[in-house]
Amino acid sequence: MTGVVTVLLIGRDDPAAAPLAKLLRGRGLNLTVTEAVADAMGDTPIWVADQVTFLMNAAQIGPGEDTCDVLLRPGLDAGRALGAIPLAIKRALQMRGELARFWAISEASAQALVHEYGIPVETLVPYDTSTQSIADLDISIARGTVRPINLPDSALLLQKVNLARLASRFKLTSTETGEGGDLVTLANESALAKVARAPLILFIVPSGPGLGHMSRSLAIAGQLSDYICDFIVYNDAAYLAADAKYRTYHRQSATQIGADSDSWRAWETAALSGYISTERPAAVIVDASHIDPYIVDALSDPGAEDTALIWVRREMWRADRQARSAVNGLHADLVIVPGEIAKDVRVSQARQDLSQCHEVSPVIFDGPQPPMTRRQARRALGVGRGRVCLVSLGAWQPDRVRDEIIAAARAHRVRLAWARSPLAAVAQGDDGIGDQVSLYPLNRYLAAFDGVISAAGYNSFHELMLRFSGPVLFLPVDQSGLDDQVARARFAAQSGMADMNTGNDVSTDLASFFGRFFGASSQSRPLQPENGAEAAARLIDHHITTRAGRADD
Amino acid sequence: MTNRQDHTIPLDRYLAVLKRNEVLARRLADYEHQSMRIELLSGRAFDVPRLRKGGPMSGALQTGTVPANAAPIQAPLARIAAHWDPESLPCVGVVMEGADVASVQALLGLAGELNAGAFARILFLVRCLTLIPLLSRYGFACQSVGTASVGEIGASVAPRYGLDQVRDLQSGDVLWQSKSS
Repeated sequence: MTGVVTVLLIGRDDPAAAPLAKLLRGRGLNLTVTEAVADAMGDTPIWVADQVTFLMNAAQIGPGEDTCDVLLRPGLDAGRALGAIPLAIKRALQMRGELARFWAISEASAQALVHEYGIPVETLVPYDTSTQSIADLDISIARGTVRPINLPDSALLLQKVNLARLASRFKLTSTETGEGGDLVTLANESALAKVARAPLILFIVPSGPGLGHMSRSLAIAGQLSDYICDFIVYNDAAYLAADAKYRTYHRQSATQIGADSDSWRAWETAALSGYISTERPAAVIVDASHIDPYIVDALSDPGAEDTALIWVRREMWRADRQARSAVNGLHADLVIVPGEIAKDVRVSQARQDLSQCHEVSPVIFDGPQPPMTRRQARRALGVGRGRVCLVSLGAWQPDRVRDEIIAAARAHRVRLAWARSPLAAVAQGDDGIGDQVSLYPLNRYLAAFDGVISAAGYNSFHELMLRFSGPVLFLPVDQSGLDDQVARARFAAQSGMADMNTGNDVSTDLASFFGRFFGASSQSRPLQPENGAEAAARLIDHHITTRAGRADD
Repeated sequence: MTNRQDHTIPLDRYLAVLKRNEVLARRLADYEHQSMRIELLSGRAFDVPRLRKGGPMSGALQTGTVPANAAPIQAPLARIAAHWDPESLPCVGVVMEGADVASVQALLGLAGELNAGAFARILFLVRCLTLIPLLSRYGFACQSVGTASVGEIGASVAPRYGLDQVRDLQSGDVLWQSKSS
């Protein structure tokens, strides 16, 4: 941005800051938002979001009504001696001359403030505004909440929301007069402001034991050809996003570096908030089991009012993860649920009250290159002739199960290729288990194998069920903190798509599984009409263009 | 009157536990250091499956406004080193440009020094994202800095981690120093 930059001086956690910033930007002001007046130098024009902040900084603000505008807000005198703030402002004006021009949000507030302060007060929003909405939200300053009128149990903390973002989707109302009513007027008006926005989308990929979040994010980004995509990645495989030609920022989570979580969150909030206010992305997309509070905090800051929060949240979490995942999900504008083949046993989710929620087909990352033929894949992996089985069990490889797999494969004269995570160390020397292969994305190389023994994480499960025709044996990992792999694998077994074993008497199932290598596979797989990534991209584009369109109405 | 038990630990037993922890920490650090050495000497330490060939460069996310009342993040002491009070050690930024032979040799040298006697908590400032899986496996803090200049790196990263200085991995030269140090 170029030209004269106006400093918008705000108080801490002021819910009016974001809609005021958007309104002023929509009126052509080139803004920088700060809590410290020190950022305003010389003749820099200043907008001050409330009278208390103005008084705290009046000594540092130069005289001249052309350079300072102050928003007077009813109700901010609470807790102070009656008339103390109007008196202090009058004294400041007497001592330093015409310091500023004063504004109220609504005509009603302007009349009351003229009477109370005894100074000229102009009106920022001269008419009552309304927008079309999905639902009405009630703003309460007294309770510090925002709640849907038809869903009174679903309240968000006022301090944690960006009212300008909400106002772009909902009609805001308030039963309160004074500040509550003014906030609603300001936020509804800000929704009509037209502000230039980059065709940019930011994906945030959390850390995790595998590459599931990364794969789904890459799959969806690959379908958003009309947008520039940036990635902030907390996974050590951040290089994959850079490989796919996206601008990539690698970060480490508090857990990874053993950092104090409060301190870490404060720094991440600052970094993300800075990115959003500078780059002005149309959306932040988070594929995660839950939305970290730092993302919510950064999106509540002024400057993020035109940025949608989109949550990609696959289902089939174990019951012990359900409650945690719902926290902060209310802040998402759009929730996209990557589909599950194992629909009939899916753990049903409470839909997000304020979010539009859509389910799409299973999302699979096929990568930028086409899948290899059997010969190409075998050559690329260094796999020779004969029958070969891929074993992909992640970090879960108990010695007993591993030994039984080796013995059964040997008995059936099948070679094993053990999948190594892209994040794991390269094996040193011969550890007695056979070939190791590092594959990403897996389905590009699947033609090399005659059968697969695998855990049942979302990605592996759907890649094998929708991209592989040979026999599959699932050995699901049953651990807290993960998705419900047992339910997924059991569904596949009961539907005749694959075999499964939960770790008991695995030798019988292994004999049956390897026996399938020598005849026609009796396992049948479903057809996938469309990769869910395409539908997810259409939903994202529609959501973004609808938001922009509302401002153009 | 309740029967109160004495939960205090005899001093000699307490010291023995501390000593045993110190010995175990030392052994673990030696084990991790040996694993890292083997990986680095294999010539395949930074081999990762790629989507496309080419240099995966990264961006440098700016720190943003320094948050009020937030203490700097304490970068960890890597698992190849042991120290009874790691947070008392300074945090030093080390710029690693790539996985070329000279960089790997310099990393071997630095790892050896850290294992012999922990002298700092290292924050690796990497230009290339394929360096991260290995460094992270051994518990190092890493941050991608893309093509940012050393001055930009220092100004951006120093407040977040409380860095005193940034050095070059290969030469050991001080590339940036905080004004207070």
